[in-house]
Amino acid sequence: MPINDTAAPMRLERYASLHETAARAFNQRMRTAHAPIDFFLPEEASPPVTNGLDAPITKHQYVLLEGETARGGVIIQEQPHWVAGETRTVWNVQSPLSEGIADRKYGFVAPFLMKELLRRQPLIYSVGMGSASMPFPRLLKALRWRLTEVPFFFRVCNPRRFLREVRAIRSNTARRLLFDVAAFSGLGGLGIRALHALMSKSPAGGSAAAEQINTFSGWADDVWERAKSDYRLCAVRNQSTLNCLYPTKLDRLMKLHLRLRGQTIGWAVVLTTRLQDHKYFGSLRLGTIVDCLAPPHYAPHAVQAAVSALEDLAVDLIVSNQSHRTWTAAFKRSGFLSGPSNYLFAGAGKLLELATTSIGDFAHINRGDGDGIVNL
Amino acid sequence: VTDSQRRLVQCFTAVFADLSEQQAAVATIDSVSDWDSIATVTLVSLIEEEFQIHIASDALAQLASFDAFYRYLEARSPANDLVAAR
Repeated sequence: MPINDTAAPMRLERYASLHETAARAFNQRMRTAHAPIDFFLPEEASPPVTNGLDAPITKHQYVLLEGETARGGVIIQEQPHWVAGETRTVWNVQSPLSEGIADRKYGFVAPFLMKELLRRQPLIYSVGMGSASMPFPRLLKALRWRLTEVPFFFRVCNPRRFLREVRAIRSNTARRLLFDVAAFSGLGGLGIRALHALMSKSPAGGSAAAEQINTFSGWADDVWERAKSDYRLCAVRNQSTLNCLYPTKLDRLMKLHLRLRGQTIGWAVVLTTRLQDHKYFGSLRLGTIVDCLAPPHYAPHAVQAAVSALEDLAVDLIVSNQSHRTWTAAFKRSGFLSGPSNYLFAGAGKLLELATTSIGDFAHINRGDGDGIVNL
Repeated sequence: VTDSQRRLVQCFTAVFADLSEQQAAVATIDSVSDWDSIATVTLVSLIEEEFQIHIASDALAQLASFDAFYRYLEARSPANDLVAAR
């Protein structure tokens, strides 16, 4: 007889105080099975995460129930997106949980959860996920979601520290010795600088000026209106959504209003992180270009201005993930090199209809999307 | 062995390559160590394709053995006779 012949129907509900007991019992079972803490449900219900009463972006915790027993959960970020010429609400899937992690007989939970989400909202995607070999992206692939790497770009600002710290390339003794010699002799620095210089082209019409701002205002709406038609899929990046995505309380973020000859051309959001023993970047001071928007012909100006702002903060390395060809071209033009990406985009349902070609042709996805900023 | 059972065995052995046909015919989620959520999805996709049906997500909790899949297919067959589908 199948194990679950007598199982109660599964249902997905927004997490509320009435689910707290079930959540605690779920966590106890996960704890007993030594599941990582990332796979636990919150034990107290809290209001949806927003930044203001009329915030256009909300995050809801859901719980998946079998009868009154919690078997899984997920966070859904509801957010307006520009989808094939219209503004639509799209769901971004974050932190899916399944009791299948602890007990294989609940292996049906994760597929049920993803099918149920897709049934409720055909405009749905997830970003990040680590790498295609992780369980969640493998599950999505099996469910015929479309998975694509969001290209990763980097630019070395301090070659000596880069060569000494970046563990991703210092993978064995011979390499460590080679990179140490390159760092201390100065030859590595010469080579890296020459490579960046060879690849860099100054944007036409001069450099943009960057002003640090606390909040986005009306000019951001103008930038959005001028830029949105270049994309078939892009999270709405107007004044109200940007202030929701990048609130003042996140003081590690630097928000930049970009102007060329006094005229607004766009904006960028950058972040600096002092790393300690990071698995890829050691103890570098890392600069990230989290998000940016400008009409396509100003994309190179926007990237260059973001780079200048981060260089002024004495970062050792600048990184970014960018999907759309407008931005990948602008980053290359600013001397960035590309490397292996662990930041994935997975789309399903009606979003697949847009994804008939490469992601670079239709979607503007970067670390500003979903919970991409969380791991920076 | 009916034609549907034979086709179902093929689906199981395609997903769980280590199973013999005899083992596949009595497989349960407890007896097959590789049977996880990804295997569930792959198996369901393969069976949907092979039998030209759609398996509702509500049914997934019940589909934890070869026998359960077979009985599900049997119930979905218009004549309730999968042999007739040959």
